[in-house]
Amino acid sequence: MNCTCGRLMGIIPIIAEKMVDNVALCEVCHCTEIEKIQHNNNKVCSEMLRKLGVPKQCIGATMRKEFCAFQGAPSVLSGELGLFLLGESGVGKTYQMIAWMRHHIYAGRKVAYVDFSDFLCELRADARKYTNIRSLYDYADVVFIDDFDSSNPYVFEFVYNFINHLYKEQKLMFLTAEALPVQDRLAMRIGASTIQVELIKG
Amino acid sequence: MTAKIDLPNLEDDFNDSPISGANASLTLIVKQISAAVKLPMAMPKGKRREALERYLALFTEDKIALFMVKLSKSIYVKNPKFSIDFMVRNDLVNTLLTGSIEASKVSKYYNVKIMHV
Repeated sequence: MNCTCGRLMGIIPIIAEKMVDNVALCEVCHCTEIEKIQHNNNKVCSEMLRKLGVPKQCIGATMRKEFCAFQGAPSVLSGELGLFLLGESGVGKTYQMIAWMRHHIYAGRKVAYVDFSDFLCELRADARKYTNIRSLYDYADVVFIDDFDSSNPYVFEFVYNFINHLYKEQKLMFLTAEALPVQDRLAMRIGASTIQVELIKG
Repeated sequence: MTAKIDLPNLEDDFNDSPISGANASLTLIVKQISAAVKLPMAMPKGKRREALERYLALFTEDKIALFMVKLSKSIYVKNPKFSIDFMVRNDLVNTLLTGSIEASKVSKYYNVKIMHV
């Protein structure tokens, strides 16, 4: 669509808590409106991330070109595949994952954030509540799991069930962990639904 | 007439600080490995000990310290098959420190890509 000035108009998303709307605006004629929308988008998005329980220090994470510097990035950008970020502590896995979260919010997808240590703690407190805990994330199109760990044999069946549930429902999965799970049943599902990227410092 | 007595070279007994230093650091490393994998480890003897010394000499202190951190988070923790011998034979320091290529070996379902940050 062309603007009255003759230039091609760009599509700008307007983010609200429950939906994302797109408007066509001209970068030159509507620059102040675009600026206002972008400022508001940023505010709404940060508020959404805060409500989802994202670590405060990562709320400002925004998508950067270098976060897509791996083979297969277009399929993650388009929402066909998820991502498994692995690497040592402090390498920036969670920060990158939150940036991807912001990207999917902008794309209009419903997102959920799972702090895996909290998930396991709740499970240990009362394993009977597992199905209730799992159903908390049913609304989401994309599930972001931070600090994933499948090494504890006592909770493995729950962890497997959770990942298998997301896999069956064809939810997009984004995970961060220090290492990839070794169990074949999990590996198959994670391998099929994510691209595994190891972050190396230096 | 004086009798020729072969006195032991006492200097050698006292001049063994480099050896005892190496001993101490080897003992410390074995203790650290034991703590990392949460398994009791005995100090290897004879050829196994020599192999361990030769192997550890290949790495800097920093690398060994990093290895201990990685080892404590690896799948080898509480693995009953883990031993010092196993570590040397499988070049575990390089295996745990090199990253992706090894990470992909965890399962045939993975194809790990590297991103330098």
